[in-house]
Amino acid sequence: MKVGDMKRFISAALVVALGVLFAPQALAATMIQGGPFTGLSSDKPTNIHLALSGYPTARGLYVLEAVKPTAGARPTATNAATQLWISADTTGGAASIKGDVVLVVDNGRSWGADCLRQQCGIFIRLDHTATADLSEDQFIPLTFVASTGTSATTGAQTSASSLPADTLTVLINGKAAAANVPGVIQYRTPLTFAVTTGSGVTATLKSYTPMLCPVKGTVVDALKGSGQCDIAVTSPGDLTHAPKTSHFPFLVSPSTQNLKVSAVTTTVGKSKLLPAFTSFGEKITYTTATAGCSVAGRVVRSSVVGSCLVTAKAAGTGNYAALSTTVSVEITK
Amino acid sequence: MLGFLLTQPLNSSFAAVNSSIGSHGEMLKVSKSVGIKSGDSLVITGQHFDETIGIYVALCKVVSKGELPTPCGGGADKSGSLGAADWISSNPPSYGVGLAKPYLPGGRFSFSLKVSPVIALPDGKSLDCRKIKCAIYTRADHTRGSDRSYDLLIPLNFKK
Repeated sequence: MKVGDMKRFISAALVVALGVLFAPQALAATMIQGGPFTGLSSDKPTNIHLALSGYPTARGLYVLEAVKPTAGARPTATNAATQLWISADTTGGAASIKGDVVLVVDNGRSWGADCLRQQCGIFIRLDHTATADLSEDQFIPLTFVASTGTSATTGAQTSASSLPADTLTVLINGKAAAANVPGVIQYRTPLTFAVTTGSGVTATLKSYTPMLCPVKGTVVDALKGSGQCDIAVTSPGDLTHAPKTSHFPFLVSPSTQNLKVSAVTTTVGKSKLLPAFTSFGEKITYTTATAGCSVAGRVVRSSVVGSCLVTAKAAGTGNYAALSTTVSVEITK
Repeated sequence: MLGFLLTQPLNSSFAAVNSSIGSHGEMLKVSKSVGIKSGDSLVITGQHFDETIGIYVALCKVVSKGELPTPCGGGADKSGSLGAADWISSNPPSYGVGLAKPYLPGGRFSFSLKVSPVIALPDGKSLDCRKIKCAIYTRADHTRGSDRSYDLLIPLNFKK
């Protein structure tokens, strides 16, 4: 073997020994080398060792285990528990991007996936300082092997894989909700989840679309009048129940603004002040066609006993419809 | 792209401009923009802002369109302790929960901002807004730091 051939052979052998050298996808500049990426145990977590080069120095990266997203999209099923934030600048709390970067991956059951049946892998993306920048997005596929039943595993994981999954009973605003059936959430009309687990442990909510539909405890809100949201409900399981995650997708739609009052009373000759703004802060204009009643700005007045109908109008936006309603004003002596 | 529309024209004698409309339809208002004294509290209000986008509101040196507004009074001031900047976000990262103020429905916010004509610089020097042009700015927060489409300003005139 010639010296040049020997060098190429040694290089190739090193790559095989270390794992795979991943060429960056499309625009991603970061090169990733390491492993193992194949034949991973589904019985116990595995440490994946990564060495990065050509990485961005001005921003950090997130490195996480995830189910492969569709082309050009970000993953929605991710292993948040082991996600890494790495950067060349560690002053903000990120781990160092240099040297041996270790990501712990597992069979996916604790985070709602099944990596024996779904394509799981390592997803790399720019961190929260550039959430919309997809230029560093890349996916490295992982393959898992089925449980042998003889592996040295932790008790909890062995138990979890053979235990029945926990059950989740979910009420949304008091009504029973089915997983994976798209529901509707309106702009700024929060939905409250009440979750009962078969195991009795407390379930948690996570938004996979936190920009549009953030979660606070058990309440989900929508910050726009359009789009789609995905809320995951997860039971961590216990000694007799395996973890369980169910997804509740929502279509986001516009909502209606309202007026705080629908009826007011006043006396003849006295003025009554009506609300200046709608529940969404739009300025209300008032008019009336009732004889004997007058409206100036938001002040209504009547010179006769009876009832007066005042029309209230306010502008709408893409998030909520325009307001057009009436206020009944009862005038007494 | 920096897109905004001052709702009153500026002229050489510094006309009072108290509101500005951004390219997404958002409106920024200040209670006072001329004859401001050090320590004055300005009431800053916003409406029709995109609630999915966090913003900073701060006193900054006026920069050219398309440039990051900087330096600003108190910098990013994520702690809010300096009183010279505010962070509005309904979906902040976990470390921002409790620091960022959420939008009110309708993309609204309202708060009082205590201003000083002096903007301190990291090197110990400072800028004096009585000598240079300064403005109340909004800009997308650090999670979209390079997005200039949410930059909006209202120039301030400090009393000399």
